[in-house]
Amino acid sequence: MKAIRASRFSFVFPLFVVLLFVSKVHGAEKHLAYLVPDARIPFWNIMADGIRHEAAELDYRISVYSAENQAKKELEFTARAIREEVDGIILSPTNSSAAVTVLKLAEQAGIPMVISDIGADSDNYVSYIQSNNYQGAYDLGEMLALKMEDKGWSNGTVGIIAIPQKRDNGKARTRGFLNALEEQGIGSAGIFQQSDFSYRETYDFTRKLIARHADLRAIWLQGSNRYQAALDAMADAGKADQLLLICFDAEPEFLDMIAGGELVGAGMQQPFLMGEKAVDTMDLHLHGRKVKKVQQVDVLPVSGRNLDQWLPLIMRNVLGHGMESQ
Amino acid sequence: MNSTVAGDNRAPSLIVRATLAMISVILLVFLLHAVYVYTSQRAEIIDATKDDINESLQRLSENIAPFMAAYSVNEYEKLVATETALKEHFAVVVKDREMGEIIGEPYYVSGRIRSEEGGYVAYQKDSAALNERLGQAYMSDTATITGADGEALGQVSVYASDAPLVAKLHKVIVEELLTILVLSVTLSLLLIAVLRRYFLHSLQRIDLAIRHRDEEGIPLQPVPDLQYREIRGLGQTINTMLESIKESRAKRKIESLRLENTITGTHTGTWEWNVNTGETVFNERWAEIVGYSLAELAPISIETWNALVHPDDLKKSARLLERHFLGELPYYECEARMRHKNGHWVWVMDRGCLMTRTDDGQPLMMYGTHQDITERKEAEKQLSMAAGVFRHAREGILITSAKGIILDVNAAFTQLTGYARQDVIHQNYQLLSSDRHGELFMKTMLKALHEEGVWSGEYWMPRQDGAVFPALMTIAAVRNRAGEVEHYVTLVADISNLKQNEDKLRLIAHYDNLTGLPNRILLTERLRHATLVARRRKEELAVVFMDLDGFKEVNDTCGHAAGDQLLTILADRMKYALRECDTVARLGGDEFVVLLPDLSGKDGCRQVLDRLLAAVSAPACLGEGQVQVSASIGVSIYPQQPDVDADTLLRQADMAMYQAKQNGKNQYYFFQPVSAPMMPVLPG
Repeated sequence: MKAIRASRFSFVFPLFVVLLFVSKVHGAEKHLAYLVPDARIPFWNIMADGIRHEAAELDYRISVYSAENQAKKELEFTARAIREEVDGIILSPTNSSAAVTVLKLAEQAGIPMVISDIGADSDNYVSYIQSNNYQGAYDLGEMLALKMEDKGWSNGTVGIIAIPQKRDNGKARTRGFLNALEEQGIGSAGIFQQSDFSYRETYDFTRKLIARHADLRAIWLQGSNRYQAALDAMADAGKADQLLLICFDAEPEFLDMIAGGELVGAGMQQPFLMGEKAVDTMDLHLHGRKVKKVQQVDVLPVSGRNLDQWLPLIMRNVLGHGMESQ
Repeated sequence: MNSTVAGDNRAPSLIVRATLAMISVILLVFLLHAVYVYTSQRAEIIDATKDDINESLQRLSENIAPFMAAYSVNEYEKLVATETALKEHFAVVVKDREMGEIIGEPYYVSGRIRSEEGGYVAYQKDSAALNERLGQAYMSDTATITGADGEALGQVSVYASDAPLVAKLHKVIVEELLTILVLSVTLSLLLIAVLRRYFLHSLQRIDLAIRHRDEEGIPLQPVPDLQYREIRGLGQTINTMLESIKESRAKRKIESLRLENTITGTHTGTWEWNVNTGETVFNERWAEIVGYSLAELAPISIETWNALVHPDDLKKSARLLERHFLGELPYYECEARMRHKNGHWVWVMDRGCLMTRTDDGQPLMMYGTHQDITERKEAEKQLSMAAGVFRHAREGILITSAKGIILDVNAAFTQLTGYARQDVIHQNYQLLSSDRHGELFMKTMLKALHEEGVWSGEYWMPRQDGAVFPALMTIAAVRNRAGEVEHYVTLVADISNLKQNEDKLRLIAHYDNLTGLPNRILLTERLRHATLVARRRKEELAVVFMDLDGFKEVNDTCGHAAGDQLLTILADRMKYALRECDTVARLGGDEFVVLLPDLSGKDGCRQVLDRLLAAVSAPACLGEGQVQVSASIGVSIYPQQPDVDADTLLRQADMAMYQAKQNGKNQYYFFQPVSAPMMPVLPG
């Protein structure tokens, strides 16, 4: 498994480099719009940076509209982009449902659209760029199993605090993680779905898992932003030293936490890379090239073991450091 | 007889008829129900559609509002799509005013509409085809979408087409038809099952019971006792009918046998005639009467009769038939002659009666008989002749029964006897018995009748006035074919004249014409009879031979007439002088013989002899003169030793008279046997 993972990244990275340095004459005098849910959120901002960066590379004029998580603004920006007769729209919708209306309006206006990260409930887009959630979760499962093996825990269960499972990315993450656990012979203690994504919610779920399952060995958070609540709950339960925490997605502080062993690992998406890929895809489409309807970007399973190795990649594609928009 | 009645297969089936009737009723009921359901369902569907529209409008306007306010267009569009599909609306169109502002139009219009293919497609306000289709909606309604603050966010319109209505009604119709079909089939099957189980089964049992029939079609077995009251009642009724039929048939059989025996016994020919078609049926006897067999007469029709009957009788028959057909005669009856196979005519009594008529009253079927009456006709002929004899014969004819009851007499009989016919009819033959005939006579008569069948003889027939007359009567027994005496016929001929003539002849032969005294013949008979009686009674008699003295002189002087007159006078005087039992006879001329029976010797007769001499010798007046003669008398006495016969006595008296004559006349002289050798027998 490790060999496979190394092989995959050995392929992705050269591709990234090629794309980074390819000729930038494709989008001359063309105008693209990027509808971002909320540019204030680092993930989206990093993705916007990737889009800007690649648009600049390809000589596209890019307009980034941040809806600040408001559907009205998203629609208004869509209408505005349509009125401005942009050549293409890259959309990271506030949600998959809202994406449908945007796609509909763009379709009616004859403007091609590429979706980046959050999917749409319709398929009238050029291409959909998404993280490979299944692969990322599966790698995390293997990573946790390895850690437990290191700990000498031959048995025990893992509690899961999941994002809503109605979302495709949530279902893919759960399926990938559980498959890995099953292959490693580790049982699941149960799963709680987040609804309001609050600190309290994650804290309570963690306490319940601890209280109900004496053999609980780890907590897996499918989101990254409430990791502290989980840590606090484990600490409050007096299990800080007896439980492991592993997360999907990444926060800037995760690098230190992984390095410090506070966090077993994290499945890190690559928003910057996704933004770049979205622009590239639009460029290919505008030039009449055929593109894949769905394109998946690897999630980086970062642990203490590979942190140092992947740090440059993490810094660029995950955190967007050093590649800010100009 | 196990054969099925002809035409069974063509007869309608009770089960089929009942089932069809029930199916018809069921279909009618359910069709009416279907019409009612269709009408009510249509109203309900329309109301339900309206309700659905209103309900959807209410639900959509409430549910869309927050999404519309949040610009979650896709969400409310999903609501719309869900509601449209769920309620199967024809179309739902939403006008979003806020969204319209965003895109720079009055409304952002979205929605769902059913396509021609039946699925739903997104409504596009700029699509003429979709707008045209929207205009085909059957009904629609619109509700305003208001925000939390009451501001109008937009509108939602729900459209319904008549397609669901038609589909639902079609479904209703199909369901109803299926229901009708299923219920009809189910009920029919149930009906058939019930009919078969409770009705047909019973009928089949009845049918099975009465299936085995005799040659006349009458069931051999009674209907079994069935379970159900009504059918049991039917079975009992059938059994009662069967019993009645059997009894009736037994009676009919007896009657038929009687009729057949009667027909056979009476040698009666029978015929059936379809007056309308001329078809005719005869029995063998009918043909036999005319000397044929039925096969020889084939083909048989009314023409067979027409060809054989005498032309004159055919006309008569036709007239009688016509009168019978018209109702003037209760029966047809005609004596007709038919040509026998051998060529002669036979008489038949043709009788018949019209039994059926056609619907329009025309004669149809007639049945009758033929009776050979040839013998009867011959008998009638002979009887007619006999009747003529009976009526016109001069002899009285008397017909009695075998028991002697007088049945009839003819006119001659009434004339002979004075009895009126009604006086003797039904009277016993004893009425005509006569006292003159003794018991022996009657026994002799009856014996002759019994043994020989006939008796003939003289009979003293009594008259109504009590007198009798001599009749020559012949009684003949009339026997039937069995030889039994049925009648006696008595012929009575009056022989009174004959008897009188006989008396006259007897008188002429035995008496003297002049004096009326017995002559020699009668004297001889009486003398013989008297000698027999005297011998039997041991009595004496005397034979007196008397010859007149001087009669020749009277006869010569006074004439023969005077002599005859004198003889008459003397005869009368001698009858008066003698006893009643005495006989005086004239032998001829002036010779007389007197027979004196029952004497007591010579002395007993001397007084008589003296009175004779006195009577003869007394003067007799002849005309104006008077004459006187005397008599010489010879007497012989019987019995004598040895015995003598009458002729000898008479010769002895003659010889004694000669002695008296010789001794001087007017005296009597007894024959002396010693002188007999002197009295040779002289020829009379």
